[in-house]
Parts: sequence; structure tokens; C-alpha cells
Amino acid sequence: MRNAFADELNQLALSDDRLVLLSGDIGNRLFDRFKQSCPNRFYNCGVAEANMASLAAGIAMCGLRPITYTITPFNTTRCLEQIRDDICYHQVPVLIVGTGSGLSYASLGFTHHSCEDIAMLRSLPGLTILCPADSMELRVLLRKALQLPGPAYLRIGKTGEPHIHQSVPDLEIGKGYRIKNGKDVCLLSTGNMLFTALETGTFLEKSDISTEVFSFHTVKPLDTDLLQNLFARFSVIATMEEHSLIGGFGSSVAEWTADQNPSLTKLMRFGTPDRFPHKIGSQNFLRSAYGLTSQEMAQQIQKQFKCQTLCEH
Amino acid sequence: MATGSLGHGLSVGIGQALAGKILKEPFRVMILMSDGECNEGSVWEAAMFAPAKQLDNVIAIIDFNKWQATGRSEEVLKLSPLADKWTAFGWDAYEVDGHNYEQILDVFSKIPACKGKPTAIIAHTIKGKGVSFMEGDNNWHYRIPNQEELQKAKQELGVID
Repeated sequence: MRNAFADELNQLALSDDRLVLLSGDIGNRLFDRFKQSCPNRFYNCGVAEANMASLAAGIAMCGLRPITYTITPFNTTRCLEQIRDDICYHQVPVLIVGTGSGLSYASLGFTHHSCEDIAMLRSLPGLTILCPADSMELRVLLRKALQLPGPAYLRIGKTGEPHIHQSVPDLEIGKGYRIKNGKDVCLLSTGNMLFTALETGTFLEKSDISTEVFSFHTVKPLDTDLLQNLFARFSVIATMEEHSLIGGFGSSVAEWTADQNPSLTKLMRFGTPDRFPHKIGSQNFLRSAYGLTSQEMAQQIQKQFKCQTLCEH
Repeated sequence: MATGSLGHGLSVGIGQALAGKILKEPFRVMILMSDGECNEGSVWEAAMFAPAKQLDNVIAIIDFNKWQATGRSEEVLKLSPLADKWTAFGWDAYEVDGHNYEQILDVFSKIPACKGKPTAIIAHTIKGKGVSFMEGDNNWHYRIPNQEELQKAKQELGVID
């Protein structure tokens, strides 16, 4: 995937002189063509990811479109506060690219694995999260991410991922993409799990279980319209990702299901919403603004309880 | 931008300065920091970046009042020799009396004195300067003056008679 990234970015940079590539001292020779064609738009920022993230924010504030590139944990969780305060809060169009995501760097040990990045970044308001399944998905998502008005995180693999699409698919950010039709169970895959999801489908079909498969290349914003449709159609839906069960794509679908059918669930969730506060006051002021007061929560719970009791009788 | 969390401003400012070079715009970027802020590792990441890319359109001013939230800066993390540190990192560093506008303006009029080098200005200051009961008392990092103290401070500063 990283070769496709370098190739696609090189093409895009030739026609868009706002693109600036920042690298965290990786990609030896990978960007030679980019450096040659756009010598004043490539900067090796060294092994200093916190600085790189904030630099990108400053560059974007001046109307350019910076892309930060290094191995996923170093470009995400290491500099999380810089992403939160300098990029997301200011909603500047920085593209954060994590390479070798999930278990792609398995043999290098846990320091190079990233199974927490989606969980951490998904809680930051205004950040689009994209996980392409193969080189073709990567090309189209990269192109579209660089047209977004705000920040995005592109979680890519390393090298040797199986090709799933024969040509560049017509993906739309925020919309799941159907790879295969089926009618019994539905597999929702994000990132490089898609090939394995398709294989799983083949196994299931051998047991006469008709399987539908989707690429959920966008984890945030979640395609809730599609989920609505799929949860109505299928009795079993499985999510697949190279990421922790805590806070990742599966969690985000689980949160949605818990919030979706209040008449069917016993769980209610209270917390802060997915946006930064733009009016500041006391702690109580913010709690009221977010509905985190005993009165508000009691009211909601009472409503739910009444509804549930009615449903049961 | 929001600089409530320390150690972000220098990097963001340097990013803006880099954009200025890419866009061939002649603006300069001034970043005001505190001495306590220099505890943050990201400051020194940024300090190595700017001279490596010859960003002589960057001016960092450090308010060096020798105190931070809960102690004397020198005792918390070894800051001195602060100007030498910036020089060693590849910056053109100056030391001024931070309460003396003439000295500050004099440095401003010289820069960039070294082509290709960013400028660091270490502005020596006194925390609570001009208010007898605040000078040298770090409790005023947190305290809010009451009405009586406010009047006294204003008198000492010559804001009221």
C-alpha cells in the first residue's frame, strides 16, 4: 500500500501545489520522485513526531495542505495531544497518514503495532478516519481525503496486501462499499481485513450460509444509514478489523446499536458529545450543556423506563 | 490558536514560517513562550527543526522570569545556560531586559542578523514586577487579588493616584 501511496501522492502533487509532505524520517527512497518533482514541498522532520504534527497545523493555517507520514503508533498515539489541540480543535486540513497499521509490522514487536489508534483518534471531534483495504481503495481515499475541508487520518498498510479491486472503485467517504451480495449473514470489514473477510465468506458459503461482505473504509463518520438497513436485513452481523476490540470499528458499531434501538436495549449511555465546546464556563455549566446533570439524566432514564415497561406489557 | 497546553506554540509558529517560505511570502512569525514551557520536549524538537531548514523568519521570545507553577525554574529542570542552549541548537540568541522596550526594539531592528538562522530572544523578567507584595512571591501564580490588594497594586504601578 505504501508504494501506491507514494505514487498517487506524487501524481496529485504535480497538479496541486498546496500539497506539502512531511515525513518522520522513514520511507527511504520511497519519496524520491516526489522530492525530485516538488523539491520545496518535502520535509524530513526527523524522529520528532510531536513537532511534526504541530508544524503541519501551522502550515495548514497558512492555506497549504500538509500530509504527515510515519509509522502508525508514532504518528498517532505518540503525538495525540498535538493532533487534538493543534489540528482537530482548529479544524485545519491536515492529512495524518499512519503506515504499517494494525499488525502490518508484526515481526518488529509491539512498539510498532497499532491496535489502539482508532480508539484514541475516534474520540477527537471533527477527524475523519479512513482505512483502505487495498492499494486501489487507498488511491481513491487519498484523493478524496485531500479535498476535505478538515483533518483526516488515513490508516494504511505496508506492502504485499492482496489486491481485491481490479480497478479504482467508486468509493465515497462515509459510505460503506458492498463487495459481495448475500442474504443470511453480513461481514463488515475495515482496512486490510477485507481479503480475510471474503475468505471467511467463502467458508460460510460452503456450509450454505449466504454471506454479504462490505468494506467499511470509513470508520468515522460511521455510515449509520447503511447499518440501519443491514441490521434490519440480517440476523448475524460481524465486524472485522486489525485493531483492539476496545474502541475500534466494532466498538463504534456496538455503540450505534446500543443508541439506536432504545426499545430493545437495557443500556443507556451518558457522556460528553463528539464536539469541542466553543462556550466555556464552570464545570457545572459544561455538564448542563452536555445533559450530564442528575435532573436531565433522571428524566431520560424515566422516559426510557416507561417506554420499556409499556413495551413489555 | 489555543496555547493552554505548553510546548505547542513554537512548533505551530515554525510551521507557519515554513509555509511562508514555501509560498514566498515575506512575513515573519513571532512566538512568545515561557521559561517553564521550555520543560516540554517538543520545544527542543522544534528548536532543532527551524535551523535545519534555515528558517530565519522565526523569532522566539522567552519570558524568562525564573519561576514556574510550583517552584524556581532552575531547580525544577536545569534551564541555564538558556541563551547558550539556543545558540548550541543553531539559533541566533540574544539576552535582553524584558522590561526595557528600548532593548527589545533594538534586537527587533537587527534581525535577522544571521541569514538562515532563527532568532531566540531571552527576555529576563521579574514575576510580579512593580508590585511590592507580588514580586518574588510565586503564590501569585495562582492568587487573584482582592479589592484592597488590587487598589494597592494599581497605585504602585502608577495606574491610579
